[in-house]
Amino acid sequence: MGGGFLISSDVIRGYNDTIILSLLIERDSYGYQISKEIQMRTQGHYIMKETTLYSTFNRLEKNGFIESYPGEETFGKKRTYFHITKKGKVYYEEKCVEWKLTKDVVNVFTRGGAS
Amino acid sequence: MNTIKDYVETMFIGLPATDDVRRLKCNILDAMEDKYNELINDGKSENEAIGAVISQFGNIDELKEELGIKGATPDSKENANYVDHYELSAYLCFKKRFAFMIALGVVLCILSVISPILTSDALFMNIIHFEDKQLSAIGIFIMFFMIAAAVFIFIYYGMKNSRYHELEEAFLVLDEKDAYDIRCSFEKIKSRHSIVIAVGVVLCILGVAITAVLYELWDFDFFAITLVSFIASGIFLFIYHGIIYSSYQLFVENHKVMKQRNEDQENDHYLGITMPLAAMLYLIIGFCFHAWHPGWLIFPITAILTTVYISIKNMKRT
Repeated sequence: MGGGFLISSDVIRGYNDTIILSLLIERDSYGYQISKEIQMRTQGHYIMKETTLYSTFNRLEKNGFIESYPGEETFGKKRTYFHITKKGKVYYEEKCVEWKLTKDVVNVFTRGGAS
Repeated sequence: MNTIKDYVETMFIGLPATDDVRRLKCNILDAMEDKYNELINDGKSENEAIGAVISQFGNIDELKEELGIKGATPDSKENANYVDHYELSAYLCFKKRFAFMIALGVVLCILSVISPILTSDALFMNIIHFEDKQLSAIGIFIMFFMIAAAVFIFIYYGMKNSRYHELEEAFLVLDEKDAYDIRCSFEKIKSRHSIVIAVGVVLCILGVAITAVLYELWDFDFFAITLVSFIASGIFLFIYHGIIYSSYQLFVENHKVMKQRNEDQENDHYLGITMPLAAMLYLIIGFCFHAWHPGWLIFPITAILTTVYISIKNMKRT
């Protein structure tokens, strides 16, 4: 894993919410599982730092997009699970539309983007 | 694993201990432990695993911003510092010598107070048959000579010590074996620490007691000598052992050391102001009124008053 190029956290900043919500739409999950999933699906191009992950959870929960609940105990640890709310799903759809637009705009100005 | 825990603790020092923060810290620690265990299962060495997990921690300021906590701590550092076996033993070896020399310097300063008292004493003058003025000049010369030697030690070793400032301020990661070894030695030093403090305190009390007895029984005029030398040996123990203790503690209880350091720095300021003032007063009293003898009492009095003031201030804060 870990192709030569790592995405800088500044570039992707506005889309951490979207990434996490998209994973939570599939199923409820907890911090480590999500960060592992992100790393795997991006072939190691994006590794979300712990502080980014948990401040995103915090923000999403405060806005009512996700809810947390204590999961079942595994290996003596009680994990905090997250569950996406209806409001969160609506927000996710909005973000997807926004990204499409953003992508088209940036593509206009980047070489090789318009493939 | 302890290293990761210690690292997270260190990073969270600047954050208030609210329920939210505590929960967040637990979750982050859990995630990091999961990551660590998986890396170990993948066949990574402990060092590699710890390095990878810590490098993926991120920036604590991001969390602070999110939680609405203002004021980034200036000493919160993102990077951890790996210390290899050679560096570690060089550091500990230096600290041992540093501890001895600093303690010696302080003892020299304390003992220097004695010489002008001795030489202005009539009894002593009869023993070595010297002129009044010559002798007190010699006494003052010896005092300054001892102080100069102490100052030389402080400056020389202080400068040598400053090489390690960078190391002392970062979060430290050790080899598995080194970490284990140093934890064992620290436990030993810790258990010795209480004995040393007890012995030091007893020495100080004994100094007072013996001095009082001497004074009562023989009207002994040198009572500054017994008192000051007992106290000096007590203080030597405190400083020597204290510096060695904290040099080991730095590696074993990193977050505790960081927290303590902020408080200590504040307290050192007070003693840094009052003790030189006391020294100035002692010289004035000595030179102008030739009262070296009761004049030296200003040192213990100042030290005690300042310490009492600091303790009261700390009590109010907590």
